Amino acid sequence: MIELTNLTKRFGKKVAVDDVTLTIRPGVITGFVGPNGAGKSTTIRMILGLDRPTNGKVRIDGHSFAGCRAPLRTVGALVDSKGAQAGRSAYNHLRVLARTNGIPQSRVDEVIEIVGLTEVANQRVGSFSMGMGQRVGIAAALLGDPQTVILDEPANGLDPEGILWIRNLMKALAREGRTVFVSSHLMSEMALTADHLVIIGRGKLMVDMPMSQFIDEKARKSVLVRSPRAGEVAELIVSAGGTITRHDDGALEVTGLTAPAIGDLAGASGLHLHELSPRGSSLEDVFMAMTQDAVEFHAQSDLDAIEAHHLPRARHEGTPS
Amino acid sequence: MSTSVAATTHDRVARFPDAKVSQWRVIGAEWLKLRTLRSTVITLAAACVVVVGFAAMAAGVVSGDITPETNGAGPAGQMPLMTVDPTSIAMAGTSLAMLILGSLGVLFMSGEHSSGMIRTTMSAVPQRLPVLWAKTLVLVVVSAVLMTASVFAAFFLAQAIL
Repeated sequence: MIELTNLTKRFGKKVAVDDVTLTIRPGVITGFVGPNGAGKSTTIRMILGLDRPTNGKVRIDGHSFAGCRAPLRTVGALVDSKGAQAGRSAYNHLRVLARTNGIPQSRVDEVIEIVGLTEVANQRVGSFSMGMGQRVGIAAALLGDPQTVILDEPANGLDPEGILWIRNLMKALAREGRTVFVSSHLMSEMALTADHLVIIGRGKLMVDMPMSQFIDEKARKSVLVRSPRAGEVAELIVSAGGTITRHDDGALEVTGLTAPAIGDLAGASGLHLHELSPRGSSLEDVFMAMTQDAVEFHAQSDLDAIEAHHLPRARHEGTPS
Repeated sequence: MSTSVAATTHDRVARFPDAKVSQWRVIGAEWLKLRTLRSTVITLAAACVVVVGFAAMAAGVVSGDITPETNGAGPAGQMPLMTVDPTSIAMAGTSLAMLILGSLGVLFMSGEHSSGMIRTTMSAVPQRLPVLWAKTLVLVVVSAVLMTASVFAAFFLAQAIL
């Protein structure tokens, strides 16, 4: 369990994390989502004591991490890709970490096998692809068989197979009763992985609810209708209480009525339909719309916000986010 | 609100009950770090080679010039050697070796920051000071041992050549 209380971080005038109070529970995967620059990494760094909060507190299983006597057993973290020196082999990198906490050497071999790096363990980390580097970081996070696992953008650089693997790994960790806190800037990925959703935008906590509830409440459902007599169909729909958005190609996007209801309505009036397809707006769209608002809200006072949202990721690596 | 809730959260059996941080363990880890990075090993080796190699070179250059009678003056056509102290010839490489060791110290610390390793290190050992002490101790001891050995080797090599 991780508890954040009024957590705030300012870098000069810029507020990276703004008064976040949040409890991350064990036994489930908590997805931590926000656009680049939203404050995800800064929050994670404060949890690990890598950044000092301007205000507020972090407690991990009731304690401050700084005073922790068995850090690797308490929290395993992947903070950024690799986090290892290029000149050292993956095997030696993990040996070094294990030694700081007195974790047996046999566990190093174990985690190397878990992440599937057995064959390349003796190669220098610098020669690894981004996906392999990511696996080294994940191996380091698992080293102490920790109660809490924190992964910052673990899917970065992984191929589809790797993404599936990390998803299953996180599910297994949560099933074992661990606290699993994972960040991503991709809502679609989190929708498949996380049980609980936390969205942060411009440093502010925007959503903290079960994923299923978020999907039910936020994913807008609509029906796409095409008809050679669209005008008449539209009149019927409006009179039955539906709301219509007209597309340029003549299609009608209807909200407020189900597909069968629209079909029955048209059929009863003898109107032909060429298409009648239910649509769920993607979570990615919902997420973009939400965080876009958060960006625009601050746009007048802080132009960086817009840049942070629109520029490709590479530009923002290395800056606090 | 925190402690009472936290106590009831899990009944998972932790696997490594003795896995705790201690100063000695951090020292052991830093020693392993120093040994397992090619750049630090090469830098240390370079410092040793410089100490011994420069002594051999310097001794080779002035070899034969030093006798109790001619001390201080080379043969005709050569620059007069003001004071030729056999010990200082053997120590010709030490100042350069000191610079190399200084850069090793920088490398040992900055390498962690440039690679992001420091975040991993600090996640494993949240207290900063034990890491600092461990790095200092490992560097000092390793440098002292290697340099003492190199300097003795340089001395005897130079005396053999002279």
